[in-house]
Amino acid sequence: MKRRPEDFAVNGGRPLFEDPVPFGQLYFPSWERYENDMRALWARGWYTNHGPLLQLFEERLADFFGVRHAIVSTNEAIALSILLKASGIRGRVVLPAFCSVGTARAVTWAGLEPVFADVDPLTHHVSRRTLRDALESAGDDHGPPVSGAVFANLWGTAAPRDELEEVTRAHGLTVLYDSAHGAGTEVTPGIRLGRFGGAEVFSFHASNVLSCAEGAAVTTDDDDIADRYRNMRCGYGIPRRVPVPTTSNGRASEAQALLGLAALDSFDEHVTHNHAVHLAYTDSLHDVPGVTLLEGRGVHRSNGSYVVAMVDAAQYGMTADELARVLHAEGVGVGRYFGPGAHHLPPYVQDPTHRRPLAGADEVSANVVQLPVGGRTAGPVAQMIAELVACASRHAPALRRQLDDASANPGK
Amino acid sequence: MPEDLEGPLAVLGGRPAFDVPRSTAALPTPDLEEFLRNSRTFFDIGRYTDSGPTVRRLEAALAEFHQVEHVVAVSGGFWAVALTARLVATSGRPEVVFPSLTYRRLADLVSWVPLIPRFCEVDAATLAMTVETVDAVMNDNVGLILGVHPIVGCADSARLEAYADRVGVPIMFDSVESTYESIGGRRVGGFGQAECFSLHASKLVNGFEGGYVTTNDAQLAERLRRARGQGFNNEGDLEEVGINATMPEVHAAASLACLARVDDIVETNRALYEAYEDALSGVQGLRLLPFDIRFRPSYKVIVVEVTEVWPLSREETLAVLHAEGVLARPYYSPALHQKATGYEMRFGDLSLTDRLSERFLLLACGERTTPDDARRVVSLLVSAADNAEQVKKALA
Repeated sequence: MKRRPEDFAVNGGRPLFEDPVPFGQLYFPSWERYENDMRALWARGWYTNHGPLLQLFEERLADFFGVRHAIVSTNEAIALSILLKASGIRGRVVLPAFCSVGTARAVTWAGLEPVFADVDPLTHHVSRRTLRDALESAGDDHGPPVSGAVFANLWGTAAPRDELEEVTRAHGLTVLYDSAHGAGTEVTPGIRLGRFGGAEVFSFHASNVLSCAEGAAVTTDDDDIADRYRNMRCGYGIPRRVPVPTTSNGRASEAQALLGLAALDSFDEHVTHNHAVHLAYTDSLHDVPGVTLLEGRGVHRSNGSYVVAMVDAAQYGMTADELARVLHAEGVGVGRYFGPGAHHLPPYVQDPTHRRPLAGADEVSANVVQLPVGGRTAGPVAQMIAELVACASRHAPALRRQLDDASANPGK
Repeated sequence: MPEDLEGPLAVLGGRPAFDVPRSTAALPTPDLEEFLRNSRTFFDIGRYTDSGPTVRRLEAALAEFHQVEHVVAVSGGFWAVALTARLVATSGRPEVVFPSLTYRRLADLVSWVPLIPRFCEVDAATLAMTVETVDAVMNDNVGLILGVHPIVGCADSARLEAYADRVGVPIMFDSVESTYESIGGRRVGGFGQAECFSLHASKLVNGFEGGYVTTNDAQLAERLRRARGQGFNNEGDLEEVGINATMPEVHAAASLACLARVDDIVETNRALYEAYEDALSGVQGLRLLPFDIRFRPSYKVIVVEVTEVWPLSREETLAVLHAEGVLARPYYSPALHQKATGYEMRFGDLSLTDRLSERFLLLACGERTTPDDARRVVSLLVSAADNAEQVKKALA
């Protein structure tokens, strides 16, 4: 392990990992399974347009999530853009200021305007108070009416549904959940995310626990939303024709479905591995001052897909950003989701209605890092990373000086 | 020839000629071992998406294929066009000009950008948009010309490009139907600000799902790369109103393997086209749309005009074929302006498009359809014409 400041890669030392540890869940079928399934797929000659693997995948997902409809699509942003139109939301929609920018992008592509709600820095979620504040400010600025809300179930945890939906009911808002990270998370024993609000959207991107490499599913018990969504997704897999304002292309291929089916088969194994990696981090980080791992609040059992660390710079000796740079140099894939919040980004930042201070989101963005967990992060690797985080704290002043010099002389 | 041909047509109570339906989709199959080798590239390093080595290799191969500087691979042809249109259209001018007689989702597609369709006519002989048909609808609200090609033959991209330049309106092409073609010796891919293509299984190159944009404009290519990943640049700053439209590596692995044998695919297509040409040469009332070799055609799709001499309507003809297991389709029908939509569309007189949208149909083609199948399809058509009165009565 690194004993002296000079041992750190930001100071010219040898990186801890010659082969960088990639960030993200990155689970994938074994080569044998991939090859066998692919040979069968090509022999069948059905490649896309709601083929047999996709139909099976949707059936199994409906069962997995415990919903009437699980509709598989290209990716999460495209799925959400279609879902927003399919759920009839118009005008403006509330979404968290601390959330994937893809969520804001989907809102924009759906022809809607975002109203950013602040988040509670302890939970990272919108709260009753911040939701009320957002709706109040939207009421004051004479913009188009707010008719919907998208809340994010981040990191394999869940937004505080009950208190949020109490407010949205009072305002007559349609609620959707961006559950990108949330596949398989149990909110109570046996009850998974997927059945809440008007509909939920899950990401099956490689970085998430249930991967099709790229992909997504919309889950709902609402037959009307499901029908409209299927009519807009593409020309295939439409049990009932209904009028829709426009259509899109949100198809997923048989190759994507093939990967998703394999991921479902190994799902429990992957979650077990995630929890083992979590344990390795928790054991090694619990006595490091200024670093707190986010606990999965409000859920019975998280899918463990993200290890989220909050860094208190005063106690730890470095900011989250500095820590991320130190780890990156050592070959550790670090996530900096989601900074800065979408309200700081174009085109939203140009709109004066988004200039309301959102202190909770800014605080979380500044202090959060995500550490590697998944198919390419073994437990002992997590332990090494945690020890590195602890060591870096001990040498924080020297490392910060080096980072400052590097920033001042970026050419070096 | 199978004995089914001796029996009556399926619409007259006979057995369908094809147990396994023949479609109008290309569905080419790559060399499976090559697909698996390509898959190893991303599998071995655990990089399954987000512009890994397979996607980058595909982009380079497509750049060479189209003889262009830059290729940006995306999740599908739909989002290739939508993202490009968003970046290329002049802001503050909400209309986009393209023909009503084209791909059935194109008006829906531009509604997402968002742009308002301003439909133009096509040329009666070539079914292509022309400088004249575009100029007839040009006005100050037009912020983009969206060039498209007919299914057989090509629009004159060079003339359209020169016209767009003259009137100061950006032009891009949806060239899905002319992936292989050349126009005036220039490969399709290098015209206008950018051109968009599909790698959907039904197209010339089968990548399961997929699309890409070709351009010689380095800055536009960079903006497109940002746009397909929500809009982030390399420094992590957000610059474009993008949306995630990333192609996963597995789709690139299939596309690459298919692209490697594209010349073979075209040869196979040509043999099928020639079989249709032969078989249809003596048939009165059905005119096969000829491929013009000056365009370096891919012979991908077989389109037939149903003329006044043909004793059945196009719809009756389609019904006869469907009953036989031939999934023939009407050519761009209904035309886009004939459909009810939830967004605004602008157009004037499109009576030529109205007429043309009733005249053409696509016959079975692609790798699953053999020259023998083609001859069989034509005999079924001849038999339907010979028994036209009975067929009409059965379908009435």
